[in-house]
Amino acid sequence: MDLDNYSNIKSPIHSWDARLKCFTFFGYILISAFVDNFYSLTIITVVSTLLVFFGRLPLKSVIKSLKPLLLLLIIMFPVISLTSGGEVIYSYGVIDVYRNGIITASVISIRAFSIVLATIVLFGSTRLNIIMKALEFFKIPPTISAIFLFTYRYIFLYIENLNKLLTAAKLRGYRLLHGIKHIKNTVSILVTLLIRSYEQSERVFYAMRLRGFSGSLRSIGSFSIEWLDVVKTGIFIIIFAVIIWIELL
Amino acid sequence: MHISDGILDPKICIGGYVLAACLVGAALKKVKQEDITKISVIGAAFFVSSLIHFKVGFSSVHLTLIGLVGMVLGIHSSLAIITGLFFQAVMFHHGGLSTLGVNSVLFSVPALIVYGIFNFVYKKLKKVSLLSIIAGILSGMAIVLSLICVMVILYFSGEELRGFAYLFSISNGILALVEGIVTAIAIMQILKIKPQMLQSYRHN
Repeated sequence: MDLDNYSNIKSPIHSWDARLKCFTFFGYILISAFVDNFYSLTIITVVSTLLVFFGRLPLKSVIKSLKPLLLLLIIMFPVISLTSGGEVIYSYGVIDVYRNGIITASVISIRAFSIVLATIVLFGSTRLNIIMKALEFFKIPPTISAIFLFTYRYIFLYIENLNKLLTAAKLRGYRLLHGIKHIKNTVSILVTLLIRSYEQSERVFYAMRLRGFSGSLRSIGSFSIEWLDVVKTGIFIIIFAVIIWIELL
Repeated sequence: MHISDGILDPKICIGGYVLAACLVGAALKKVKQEDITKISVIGAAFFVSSLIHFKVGFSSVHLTLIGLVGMVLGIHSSLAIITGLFFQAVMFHHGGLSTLGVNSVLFSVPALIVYGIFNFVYKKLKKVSLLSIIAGILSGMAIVLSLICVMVILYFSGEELRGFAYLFSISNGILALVEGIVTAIAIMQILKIKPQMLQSYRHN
Protein backbone atom coordinates (compact mmCIF):
# COMPACT_ATOMS: atom_id res chain seq x y z
CA MET A 1 0.00 0.00 0.00
CA ASP A 2 2.97 2.33 0.53
CA LEU A 3 3.53 4.59 -2.43
CA ASP A 4 7.28 4.94 -2.37
CA ASN A 5 8.48 1.50 -1.31
CA TYR A 6 10.68 1.20 -4.37
CA SER A 7 11.87 4.80 -4.66
CA ASN A 8 15.47 3.81 -3.83
CA ILE A 9 15.95 1.53 -6.83
CA LYS A 10 18.38 2.79 -9.49
CA SER A 11 16.76 3.09 -12.89
CA PRO A 12 16.40 5.58 -15.76
CA ILE A 13 12.92 6.46 -14.43
CA HIS A 14 14.12 6.91 -10.84
CA SER A 15 16.97 9.22 -11.88
CA TRP A 16 14.64 11.45 -13.96
CA ASP A 17 14.30 15.00 -12.60
CA ALA A 18 11.03 15.08 -10.62
CA ARG A 19 9.71 18.25 -12.26
CA LEU A 20 10.20 16.91 -15.79
CA LYS A 21 8.98 13.47 -14.71
CA CYS A 22 5.74 14.89 -13.25
CA PHE A 23 5.17 17.05 -16.32
CA THR A 24 5.75 14.07 -18.63
CA PHE A 25 3.74 11.51 -16.67
CA PHE A 26 0.73 13.76 -16.02
CA GLY A 27 0.78 14.75 -19.70
CA TYR A 28 0.97 11.09 -20.67
CA ILE A 29 -1.90 10.15 -18.35
CA LEU A 30 -4.13 12.89 -19.76
CA ILE A 31 -3.29 12.02 -23.38
CA SER A 32 -3.83 8.29 -22.72
CA ALA A 33 -7.32 9.04 -21.38
CA PHE A 34 -8.31 10.59 -24.71
CA VAL A 35 -6.96 7.96 -27.09
CA ASP A 36 -9.44 6.19 -29.39
CA ASN A 37 -7.53 5.06 -32.44
CA PHE A 38 -6.11 1.52 -32.78
CA TYR A 39 -2.55 2.78 -33.53
CA SER A 40 -2.57 5.23 -30.60
CA LEU A 41 -3.86 2.49 -28.32
CA THR A 42 -0.99 0.25 -29.43
CA ILE A 43 1.47 3.08 -28.73
CA ILE A 44 0.20 3.70 -25.18
CA THR A 45 0.21 -0.05 -24.42
CA VAL A 46 3.83 -0.36 -25.55
CA VAL A 47 4.93 2.85 -23.79
CA SER A 48 3.30 1.90 -20.48
CA THR A 49 4.85 -1.59 -20.60
CA LEU A 50 8.26 -0.04 -21.34
CA LEU A 51 7.80 2.37 -18.41
CA VAL A 52 7.32 -0.60 -16.07
CA PHE A 53 10.34 -2.33 -17.63
CA PHE A 54 12.62 0.73 -17.35
CA GLY A 55 11.26 1.60 -13.91
CA ARG A 56 12.56 -1.78 -12.64
CA LEU A 57 9.70 -2.07 -10.16
CA PRO A 58 9.12 -5.65 -8.94
CA LEU A 59 6.67 -7.29 -11.34
CA LYS A 60 4.85 -9.04 -8.49
CA SER A 61 4.07 -5.69 -6.84
CA VAL A 62 2.92 -4.17 -10.15
CA ILE A 63 0.57 -7.10 -10.84
CA LYS A 64 -0.77 -6.89 -7.27
CA SER A 65 -1.50 -3.18 -7.80
CA LEU A 66 -3.42 -3.98 -10.98
CA LYS A 67 -5.85 -6.33 -9.18
CA PRO A 68 -8.60 -3.75 -8.35
CA LEU A 69 -8.66 -2.54 -11.95
CA LEU A 70 -8.77 -6.10 -13.22
CA LEU A 71 -11.78 -6.86 -10.99
CA LEU A 72 -13.61 -3.78 -12.30
CA LEU A 73 -12.89 -4.70 -15.90
CA ILE A 74 -14.04 -8.31 -15.37
CA ILE A 75 -17.47 -6.91 -14.42
CA MET A 76 -17.51 -4.03 -16.91
CA PHE A 77 -16.38 -5.91 -20.03
CA PRO A 78 -19.33 -8.38 -20.28
CA VAL A 79 -21.87 -5.71 -19.20
CA ILE A 80 -20.82 -3.30 -21.95
CA SER A 81 -20.43 -6.09 -24.54
CA LEU A 82 -23.95 -7.41 -23.84
CA THR A 83 -25.85 -4.12 -23.45
CA SER A 84 -24.31 -1.59 -25.84
CA GLY A 85 -26.63 -2.22 -28.80
CA GLY A 86 -25.70 -2.03 -32.49
CA GLU A 87 -24.44 -4.83 -34.72
CA VAL A 88 -24.80 -8.30 -33.17
CA ILE A 89 -21.76 -10.54 -33.76
CA TYR A 90 -22.86 -13.51 -31.66
CA SER A 91 -26.20 -14.61 -30.33
CA TYR A 92 -27.14 -17.33 -27.84
CA GLY A 93 -30.82 -17.44 -26.88
CA VAL A 94 -31.74 -14.03 -25.49
CA ILE A 95 -28.09 -13.04 -25.08
CA ASP A 96 -26.60 -10.87 -27.84
CA VAL A 97 -22.96 -9.86 -28.03
CA TYR A 98 -22.49 -6.49 -29.73
CA ARG A 99 -19.51 -5.43 -31.83
CA ASN A 100 -19.66 -1.82 -30.52
CA GLY A 101 -19.68 -3.08 -26.95
CA ILE A 102 -16.58 -5.22 -27.41
CA ILE A 103 -14.72 -2.34 -29.12
CA THR A 104 -15.72 0.20 -26.42
CA ALA A 105 -14.86 -2.19 -23.56
CA SER A 106 -11.48 -2.99 -25.16
CA VAL A 107 -10.65 0.70 -25.65
CA ILE A 108 -11.59 1.49 -22.03
CA SER A 109 -9.55 -1.47 -20.75
CA ILE A 110 -6.40 -0.52 -22.71
CA ARG A 111 -6.65 3.14 -21.66
CA ALA A 112 -7.25 2.20 -18.02
CA PHE A 113 -4.36 -0.29 -17.91
CA SER A 114 -1.97 2.18 -19.54
CA ILE A 115 -2.91 4.99 -17.15
CA VAL A 116 -2.73 2.79 -14.05
CA LEU A 117 0.67 1.41 -15.11
CA ALA A 118 1.98 4.97 -15.59
CA THR A 119 0.55 5.95 -12.17
CA ILE A 120 2.22 2.94 -10.52
CA VAL A 121 5.57 3.79 -12.10
CA LEU A 122 5.37 7.50 -11.23
CA PHE A 123 4.40 7.04 -7.58
CA GLY A 124 6.54 3.92 -7.18
CA SER A 125 9.68 5.62 -8.39
CA THR A 126 9.41 9.00 -6.63
CA ARG A 127 8.82 9.87 -3.00
CA LEU A 128 5.54 11.72 -2.40
CA ASN A 129 7.24 14.73 -0.81
CA ILE A 130 9.43 15.11 -3.92
CA ILE A 131 6.35 14.88 -6.18
CA MET A 132 4.61 17.56 -4.11
CA LYS A 133 7.67 19.79 -4.23
CA ALA A 134 7.81 19.31 -8.00
CA LEU A 135 4.10 20.15 -8.30
CA GLU A 136 4.66 23.36 -6.33
CA PHE A 137 7.05 24.30 -9.15
CA PHE A 138 3.97 24.10 -11.43
CA LYS A 139 2.15 26.56 -9.13
CA ILE A 140 0.11 24.02 -7.15
CA PRO A 141 -0.65 25.98 -3.91
CA PRO A 142 1.70 24.99 -1.03
CA THR A 143 -1.40 24.58 1.19
CA ILE A 144 -2.59 21.75 -1.05
CA SER A 145 0.75 19.97 -0.97
CA ALA A 146 0.90 20.42 2.83
CA ILE A 147 -2.59 18.86 3.16
CA PHE A 148 -1.59 15.95 0.89
CA LEU A 149 1.60 15.24 2.84
CA PHE A 150 -0.07 15.50 6.25
CA THR A 151 -2.92 13.25 5.12
CA TYR A 152 -0.48 10.66 3.76
CA ARG A 153 1.39 10.62 7.05
CA TYR A 154 -1.79 10.13 9.13
CA ILE A 155 -3.46 7.54 6.90
CA PHE A 156 -1.02 4.87 8.11
CA LEU A 157 -1.36 5.93 11.73
CA TYR A 158 -5.16 5.69 11.55
CA ILE A 159 -5.11 2.34 9.78
CA GLU A 160 -3.08 1.05 12.73
CA ASN A 161 -5.45 2.75 15.21
CA LEU A 162 -8.52 1.36 13.46
CA ASN A 163 -7.09 -2.17 13.51
CA LYS A 164 -6.36 -1.81 17.23
CA LEU A 165 -9.91 -0.56 17.92
CA LEU A 166 -11.45 -3.38 15.88
CA THR A 167 -9.32 -6.02 17.62
CA ALA A 168 -10.14 -4.60 21.06
CA ALA A 169 -13.86 -4.60 20.27
CA LYS A 170 -13.76 -8.16 18.95
CA LEU A 171 -11.92 -9.31 22.09
CA ARG A 172 -14.70 -7.74 24.16
CA GLY A 173 -17.16 -9.89 22.23
CA TYR A 174 -18.65 -7.33 19.84
CA ARG A 175 -19.66 -8.56 16.41
CA LEU A 176 -18.49 -6.10 13.78
CA LEU A 177 -18.96 -5.63 10.04
CA HIS A 178 -21.66 -8.30 9.97
CA GLY A 179 -24.42 -6.42 8.22
CA ILE A 180 -26.96 -3.84 9.30
CA LYS A 181 -27.77 -5.77 12.53
CA HIS A 182 -24.36 -4.94 14.05
CA ILE A 183 -23.95 -1.56 12.43
CA LYS A 184 -24.13 0.40 15.70
CA ASN A 185 -21.03 -1.34 17.09
CA THR A 186 -19.02 -0.58 13.98
CA VAL A 187 -20.16 3.05 13.80
CA SER A 188 -19.15 3.54 17.45
CA ILE A 189 -15.63 2.54 16.48
CA LEU A 190 -15.66 4.91 13.51
CA VAL A 191 -16.85 7.76 15.73
CA THR A 192 -14.12 6.98 18.28
CA LEU A 193 -11.56 7.19 15.48
CA LEU A 194 -13.01 10.48 14.18
CA ILE A 195 -13.19 12.12 17.63
CA ARG A 196 -9.62 11.05 18.43
CA SER A 197 -8.47 12.45 15.07
CA TYR A 198 -10.28 15.75 15.74
CA GLU A 199 -8.61 16.08 19.13
CA GLN A 200 -5.27 15.08 17.67
CA SER A 201 -5.55 17.67 14.87
CA GLU A 202 -5.34 20.51 17.40
CA ARG A 203 -2.31 18.96 19.13
CA VAL A 204 -0.62 18.38 15.77
CA PHE A 205 -1.18 22.03 14.80
CA TYR A 206 0.38 23.34 18.03
CA ALA A 207 3.32 20.93 17.70
CA MET A 208 3.87 21.99 14.09
CA ARG A 209 3.60 25.66 14.99
CA LEU A 210 6.28 25.25 17.66
CA ARG A 211 8.51 23.75 14.96
CA GLY A 212 8.02 26.82 12.79
CA PHE A 213 5.17 25.65 10.52
CA SER A 214 3.86 28.59 8.54
CA GLY A 215 1.34 26.99 6.21
CA SER A 216 3.69 25.15 3.87
CA LEU A 217 6.11 22.28 4.38
CA ARG A 218 9.76 22.68 3.50
CA SER A 219 11.90 19.80 2.34
CA ILE A 220 15.63 19.56 1.94
CA GLY A 221 17.23 18.80 -1.40
CA SER A 222 17.05 20.61 -4.67
CA PHE A 223 16.28 19.67 -8.24
CA SER A 224 18.83 19.47 -10.99
CA ILE A 225 18.15 18.80 -14.64
CA GLU A 226 20.67 16.66 -16.52
CA TRP A 227 20.80 16.47 -20.31
CA LEU A 228 19.48 12.87 -20.13
CA ASP A 229 16.34 14.14 -18.39
CA VAL A 230 15.73 16.55 -21.25
CA VAL A 231 16.21 13.69 -23.74
CA LYS A 232 13.69 11.48 -21.87
CA THR A 233 11.13 14.29 -21.77
CA GLY A 234 11.85 15.09 -25.42
CA ILE A 235 11.10 11.47 -26.41
CA PHE A 236 7.76 11.69 -24.64
CA ILE A 237 6.90 15.01 -26.28
CA ILE A 238 7.50 13.33 -29.67
CA ILE A 239 5.24 10.43 -28.56
CA PHE A 240 2.52 12.94 -27.51
CA ALA A 241 2.82 14.70 -30.89
CA VAL A 242 2.53 11.37 -32.77
CA ILE A 243 -0.53 10.32 -30.74
CA ILE A 244 -2.25 13.70 -31.25
CA TRP A 245 -1.42 13.56 -34.97
CA ILE A 246 -2.88 10.02 -35.29
CA GLU A 247 -5.99 11.03 -33.35
CA LEU A 248 -6.53 14.13 -35.49
CA LEU A 249 -6.17 12.09 -38.67
CA MET B 1 -18.57 4.84 -6.37
CA HIS B 2 -15.71 6.24 -8.40
CA ILE B 3 -15.45 6.60 -12.14
CA SER B 4 -12.31 4.85 -13.35
CA ASP B 5 -9.67 5.99 -15.79
CA GLY B 6 -10.40 5.55 -19.47
CA ILE B 7 -14.21 5.57 -19.25
CA LEU B 8 -15.09 9.23 -19.69
CA ASP B 9 -15.13 11.56 -22.63
CA PRO B 10 -12.10 13.96 -22.66
CA LYS B 11 -14.35 17.03 -22.47
CA ILE B 12 -15.97 15.73 -19.28
CA CYS B 13 -12.55 15.01 -17.71
CA ILE B 14 -11.31 18.53 -18.48
CA GLY B 15 -14.61 20.09 -17.35
CA GLY B 16 -14.35 18.09 -14.12
CA TYR B 17 -10.86 19.45 -13.45
CA VAL B 18 -12.02 23.03 -14.11
CA LEU B 19 -14.98 22.68 -11.71
CA ALA B 20 -12.82 20.93 -9.10
CA ALA B 21 -10.26 23.76 -9.35
CA CYS B 22 -13.05 26.29 -8.69
CA LEU B 23 -14.27 24.34 -5.64
CA VAL B 24 -10.76 23.87 -4.27
CA GLY B 25 -9.91 27.52 -4.97
CA ALA B 26 -13.01 28.68 -3.09
CA ALA B 27 -12.15 26.42 -0.16
CA LEU B 28 -8.50 27.56 -0.12
CA LYS B 29 -9.57 31.19 0.24
CA LYS B 30 -11.22 30.32 3.58
CA VAL B 31 -8.38 28.14 4.91
CA LYS B 32 -6.52 29.41 7.96
CA GLN B 33 -3.21 27.96 9.11
CA GLU B 34 -4.79 25.93 11.90
CA ASP B 35 -7.27 24.42 9.43
CA ILE B 36 -4.52 22.68 7.44
CA THR B 37 -3.80 20.06 10.10
CA LYS B 38 -7.53 19.71 10.88
CA ILE B 39 -8.44 19.05 7.23
CA SER B 40 -5.54 16.62 6.82
CA VAL B 41 -5.94 14.67 10.04
CA ILE B 42 -9.75 14.42 9.85
CA GLY B 43 -9.49 13.75 6.10
CA ALA B 44 -7.10 10.86 6.83
CA ALA B 45 -9.52 9.46 9.44
CA PHE B 46 -12.39 9.64 6.92
CA PHE B 47 -10.21 7.94 4.30
CA VAL B 48 -9.44 5.11 6.70
CA SER B 49 -13.10 4.83 7.76
CA SER B 50 -14.10 4.46 4.13
CA LEU B 51 -11.90 1.34 3.92
CA ILE B 52 -14.38 -0.50 6.15
CA HIS B 53 -16.66 -2.84 4.24
CA PHE B 54 -20.16 -3.67 5.54
CA LYS B 55 -21.64 -7.03 4.66
CA VAL B 56 -25.10 -6.51 3.16
CA GLY B 57 -26.72 -9.76 2.06
CA PHE B 58 -24.29 -11.63 -0.20
CA SER B 59 -22.51 -8.43 -1.13
CA SER B 60 -20.55 -5.76 0.73
CA VAL B 61 -20.44 -1.98 0.49
CA HIS B 62 -17.73 0.40 1.52
CA LEU B 63 -18.65 3.79 2.89
CA THR B 64 -17.92 7.15 1.25
CA LEU B 65 -19.03 9.27 4.26
CA ILE B 66 -19.44 12.35 2.04
CA GLY B 67 -22.39 13.63 4.09
CA LEU B 68 -20.45 13.32 7.34
CA VAL B 69 -17.38 14.97 5.78
CA GLY B 70 -19.61 17.88 4.73
CA MET B 71 -21.05 18.27 8.23
CA VAL B 72 -17.66 18.10 9.96
CA LEU B 73 -15.49 20.10 7.56
CA GLY B 74 -18.09 22.38 5.95
CA ILE B 75 -16.68 24.59 3.20
CA HIS B 76 -13.29 22.81 3.52
CA SER B 77 -14.76 19.42 2.67
CA SER B 78 -13.76 19.68 -1.01
CA LEU B 79 -10.09 19.82 0.07
CA ALA B 80 -10.40 16.66 2.17
CA ILE B 81 -12.40 14.93 -0.57
CA ILE B 82 -9.92 15.65 -3.40
CA THR B 83 -7.07 14.52 -1.12
CA GLY B 84 -8.89 11.30 -0.20
CA LEU B 85 -9.74 10.56 -3.83
CA PHE B 86 -6.15 11.26 -4.89
CA PHE B 87 -4.84 8.69 -2.41
CA GLN B 88 -7.51 6.16 -3.38
CA ALA B 89 -6.44 6.61 -7.01
CA VAL B 90 -2.70 6.25 -6.41
CA MET B 91 -2.73 3.72 -3.56
CA PHE B 92 -5.63 1.42 -4.47
CA HIS B 93 -6.28 2.47 -8.09
CA HIS B 94 -9.96 3.11 -7.34
CA GLY B 95 -11.02 5.99 -9.53
CA GLY B 96 -8.08 7.47 -11.36
CA LEU B 97 -5.93 10.50 -11.97
CA SER B 98 -7.61 11.46 -15.26
CA THR B 99 -11.05 11.33 -13.58
CA LEU B 100 -9.92 12.89 -10.28
CA GLY B 101 -11.55 16.21 -11.16
CA VAL B 102 -14.91 14.68 -12.07
CA ASN B 103 -14.93 12.37 -9.04
CA SER B 104 -14.10 15.18 -6.63
CA VAL B 105 -16.90 17.36 -8.04
CA LEU B 106 -19.33 14.43 -7.77
CA PHE B 107 -18.46 14.03 -4.08
CA SER B 108 -17.80 17.65 -3.07
CA VAL B 109 -21.01 19.23 -4.37
CA PRO B 110 -23.31 16.84 -2.42
CA ALA B 111 -21.08 17.29 0.67
CA LEU B 112 -21.43 21.08 0.45
CA ILE B 113 -25.19 20.84 -0.11
CA VAL B 114 -25.51 18.57 2.95
CA TYR B 115 -23.47 21.06 4.99
CA GLY B 116 -25.65 23.99 3.86
CA ILE B 117 -28.94 22.25 4.69
CA PHE B 118 -27.68 20.75 7.96
CA ASN B 119 -26.36 24.14 9.05
CA PHE B 120 -29.79 25.67 8.41
CA VAL B 121 -31.57 22.85 10.28
CA TYR B 122 -29.09 23.02 13.17
CA LYS B 123 -30.03 26.65 13.86
CA LYS B 124 -33.74 25.74 14.07
CA LEU B 125 -33.63 22.39 15.90
CA LYS B 126 -31.84 21.37 19.06
CA LYS B 127 -33.19 17.85 19.60
CA VAL B 128 -30.36 15.34 19.08
CA SER B 129 -32.53 12.48 17.80
CA LEU B 130 -34.29 14.67 15.24
CA LEU B 131 -31.02 16.21 14.07
CA SER B 132 -29.50 12.74 13.68
CA ILE B 133 -32.42 11.48 11.61
CA ILE B 134 -32.22 14.55 9.36
CA ALA B 135 -28.44 14.08 9.04
CA GLY B 136 -29.00 10.46 8.01
CA ILE B 137 -31.61 11.41 5.41
CA LEU B 138 -29.37 14.17 4.03
CA SER B 139 -26.43 11.81 3.82
CA GLY B 140 -28.46 9.20 1.96
CA MET B 141 -29.72 11.91 -0.38
CA ALA B 142 -26.13 13.07 -0.99
CA ILE B 143 -25.28 9.58 -2.24
CA VAL B 144 -28.40 9.51 -4.41
CA LEU B 145 -27.50 12.93 -5.88
CA SER B 146 -23.95 11.79 -6.54
CA LEU B 147 -25.27 8.59 -8.12
CA ILE B 148 -27.68 10.50 -10.38
CA CYS B 149 -24.80 12.71 -11.56
CA VAL B 150 -22.61 9.63 -12.28
CA MET B 151 -25.48 8.04 -14.21
CA VAL B 152 -26.08 11.20 -16.25
CA ILE B 153 -22.35 11.47 -17.05
CA LEU B 154 -22.10 7.79 -18.05
CA TYR B 155 -25.37 8.03 -20.02
CA PHE B 156 -24.09 10.96 -22.07
CA SER B 157 -20.56 9.54 -22.44
CA GLY B 158 -21.79 7.12 -25.08
CA GLU B 159 -24.66 4.82 -25.96
CA GLU B 160 -22.45 1.82 -25.18
CA LEU B 161 -22.14 2.78 -21.51
CA ARG B 162 -25.87 2.98 -20.73
CA GLY B 163 -26.15 -0.64 -19.56
CA PHE B 164 -23.14 -0.12 -17.33
CA ALA B 165 -24.74 3.06 -15.95
CA TYR B 166 -27.85 1.11 -14.88
CA LEU B 167 -25.77 -1.64 -13.25
CA PHE B 168 -23.68 1.02 -11.49
CA SER B 169 -26.78 2.68 -10.05
CA ILE B 170 -28.32 -0.60 -8.84
CA SER B 171 -25.10 -1.79 -7.18
CA ASN B 172 -24.57 1.56 -5.44
CA GLY B 173 -28.22 2.20 -4.56
CA ILE B 174 -27.90 0.12 -1.38
CA LEU B 175 -24.99 2.37 -0.35
CA ALA B 176 -27.38 5.32 0.10
CA LEU B 177 -29.35 3.35 2.70
CA VAL B 178 -26.28 2.10 4.60
CA GLU B 179 -24.64 5.53 4.47
CA GLY B 180 -27.81 7.16 5.82
CA ILE B 181 -27.98 4.77 8.78
CA VAL B 182 -24.25 5.11 9.52
CA THR B 183 -24.37 8.93 9.40
CA ALA B 184 -27.48 9.11 11.61
CA ILE B 185 -25.83 6.96 14.31
CA ALA B 186 -22.50 8.81 13.95
CA ILE B 187 -24.10 12.28 14.24
CA MET B 188 -26.10 11.16 17.27
CA GLN B 189 -22.89 10.03 19.00
CA ILE B 190 -20.93 13.12 17.92
CA LEU B 191 -23.68 15.45 19.17
CA LYS B 192 -23.62 13.70 22.54
CA ILE B 193 -19.83 13.34 22.93
CA LYS B 194 -18.08 16.06 20.93
CA PRO B 195 -20.47 18.51 19.20
CA GLN B 196 -17.52 20.89 18.61
CA MET B 197 -16.55 18.57 15.76
CA LEU B 198 -19.48 19.79 13.69
CA GLN B 199 -18.94 22.89 11.62
CA SER B 200 -22.50 24.05 12.41
CA TYR B 201 -21.78 23.92 16.19
CA ARG B 202 -18.63 26.01 15.73
CA HIS B 203 -20.52 28.57 13.61
CA ASN B 204 -23.37 28.93 16.07
